Amino acid sequence: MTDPAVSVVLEDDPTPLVLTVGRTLRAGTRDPESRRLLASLRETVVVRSKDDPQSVTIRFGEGRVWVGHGSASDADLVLTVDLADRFAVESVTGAEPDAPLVADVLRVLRPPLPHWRNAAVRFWELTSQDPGMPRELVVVCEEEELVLGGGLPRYVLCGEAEKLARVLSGTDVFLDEVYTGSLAVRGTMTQLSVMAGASLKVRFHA
Amino acid sequence: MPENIESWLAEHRIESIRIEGTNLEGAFIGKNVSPRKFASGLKSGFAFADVAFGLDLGNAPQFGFAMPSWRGDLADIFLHADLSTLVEWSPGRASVIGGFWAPDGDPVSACPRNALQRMTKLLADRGYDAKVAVEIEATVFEESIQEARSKGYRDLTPLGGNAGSAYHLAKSKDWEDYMLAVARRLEELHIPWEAWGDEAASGQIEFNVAPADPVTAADYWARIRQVMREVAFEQGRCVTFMAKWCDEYGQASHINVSLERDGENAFYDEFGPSQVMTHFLGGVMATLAPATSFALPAITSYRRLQELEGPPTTVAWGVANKSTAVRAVVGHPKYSRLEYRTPGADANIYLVLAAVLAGGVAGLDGKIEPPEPFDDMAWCLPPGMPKIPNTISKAAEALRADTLLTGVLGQELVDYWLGTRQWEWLQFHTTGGDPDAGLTEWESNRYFELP
Repeated sequence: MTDPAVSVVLEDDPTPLVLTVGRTLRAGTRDPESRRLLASLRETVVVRSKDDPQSVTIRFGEGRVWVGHGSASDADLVLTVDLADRFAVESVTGAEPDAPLVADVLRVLRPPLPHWRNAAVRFWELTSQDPGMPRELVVVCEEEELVLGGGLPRYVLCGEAEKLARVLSGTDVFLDEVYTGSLAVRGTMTQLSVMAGASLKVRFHA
Repeated sequence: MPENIESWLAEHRIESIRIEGTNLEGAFIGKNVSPRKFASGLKSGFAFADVAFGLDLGNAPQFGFAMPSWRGDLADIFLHADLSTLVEWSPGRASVIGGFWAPDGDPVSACPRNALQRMTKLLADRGYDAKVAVEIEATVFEESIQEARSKGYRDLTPLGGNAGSAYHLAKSKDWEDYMLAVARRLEELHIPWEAWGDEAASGQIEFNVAPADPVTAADYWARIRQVMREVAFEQGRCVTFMAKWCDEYGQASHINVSLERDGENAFYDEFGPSQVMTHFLGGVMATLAPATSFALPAITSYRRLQELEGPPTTVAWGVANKSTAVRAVVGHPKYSRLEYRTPGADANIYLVLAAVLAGGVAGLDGKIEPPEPFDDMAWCLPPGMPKIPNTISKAAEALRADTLLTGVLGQELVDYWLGTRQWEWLQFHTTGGDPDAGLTEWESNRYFELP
């Protein structure tokens, strides 16, 4: 049986969180289970940050999911989440925390992470031609190393497997992880800027 | 400009010189140097870390975009003083304005003063001298800046009372004392102010300065704002140039532009806009939407764009029509000009002027015809008329899609600017701003004192 097609539609002039949720849902369309849920959900869900005023409204409909900023008053479910931890739920309004709807929405907001190598290859495909990008990206994960592109300038990115997968797939913010030390980098400051931009491109538009 | 700098410094008993420039955010930046250091730096320039053009108004480094060759790992760039701007700022202290240059001798592409000088030269190459006058609006408060800080820049008391606004003379003496002190300081600095008065909101003032060449007019703007801040400090008041300091009142920075050729106003024609004005205007109108990113640089800038509240909302021009984005004043041999009404009080005037002149250059070169003049009120219109972009991201998108303005202004400057605007958008949304609320604490904290 063919999986149902689902399109993710964003509001005009989307906010960063709308773009992030949109990309996350689009990633879900590439996963059979998430795609099935995206096609079956019909509710309106608000996702709001536990730390700041950011929020989005997701309207699930037949074959189409719409995402816009702000908290709709007609939401069936409100999830207060940790945006820095893949929408980890802090509190729920409109349903019991263990209700199936909560589990389904979380499933589509947390699609399976790719392997860090696949995430790196996809990241490089999307960004390597952008202005200022290094000619070579070396991704180091413990004893493993993946070299993408070739030549100088080179940029080196080191981290644990899950962190690399999260950053390179756009799930986590590159610059935040560099600041907190969970990613180590070697390259110039101007390349740091470009890599931060590349990370945003993947986070918002992949 | 003094013939002998060392003699001038000695004659005026100068103990320190404040070297000044305006960065991309529109902030007046600089440092103080001794007379000996000043003399030694006149040829080499004065070193600044390149992050002078890489920090946002919250002091965070701006990342997320490709950087030009003059940016490095905190590399040095050099401010070269323009000695024609040297003045005695206060007893024992001189002040000089300059532009920023890379170590290799190239101008820093993101230096707003450099950009404006380039645009002025492009016009000069075509036989025109631009004349510019900038209107400066600000709001002055009874509180000191320390009190304002402790109150989070909220619930402040506009100086001069709340009774009436726009041209009222029945203001309390504290308001007059402040304005007279500012005007006196401008006289001392040889800045030719023409008028000041009560503007359209409580505590709001407007200063008008005599027309000058574009760079001089922008230098006046930078210095007048500095004077207004210093006088406010001295009098235990504070002043803000935010586009909106509360949800009610906005403030603008209209720009008046004309071109002269052989000493005559090239915008003048007995029967309306001259051919020169028409083509200049054609370029300005063709680039008005992308230039909005420069005219409205901050998150708060866009809060002004409310129908019927004064700022333009429609991409339209008209003769003697102050509801349009560009007002043409025609038929007068001296005063024929274009008034560019989009910029907020928070705009970087060097940059906006550069953008307006770049649009004009494109219009003159391409003999661009403007749209028909708009004779009705340009607010509250039915669908159909193009609107001025009303968010920082929409304006950035319009600039990103543009080629006409960018072609004259320079890709490197535009790309760098767009990177910083994406950063500003991102910071607002992800560090505490709220697009659905009124003026947020995030904005008050970020924009009340700077730029």
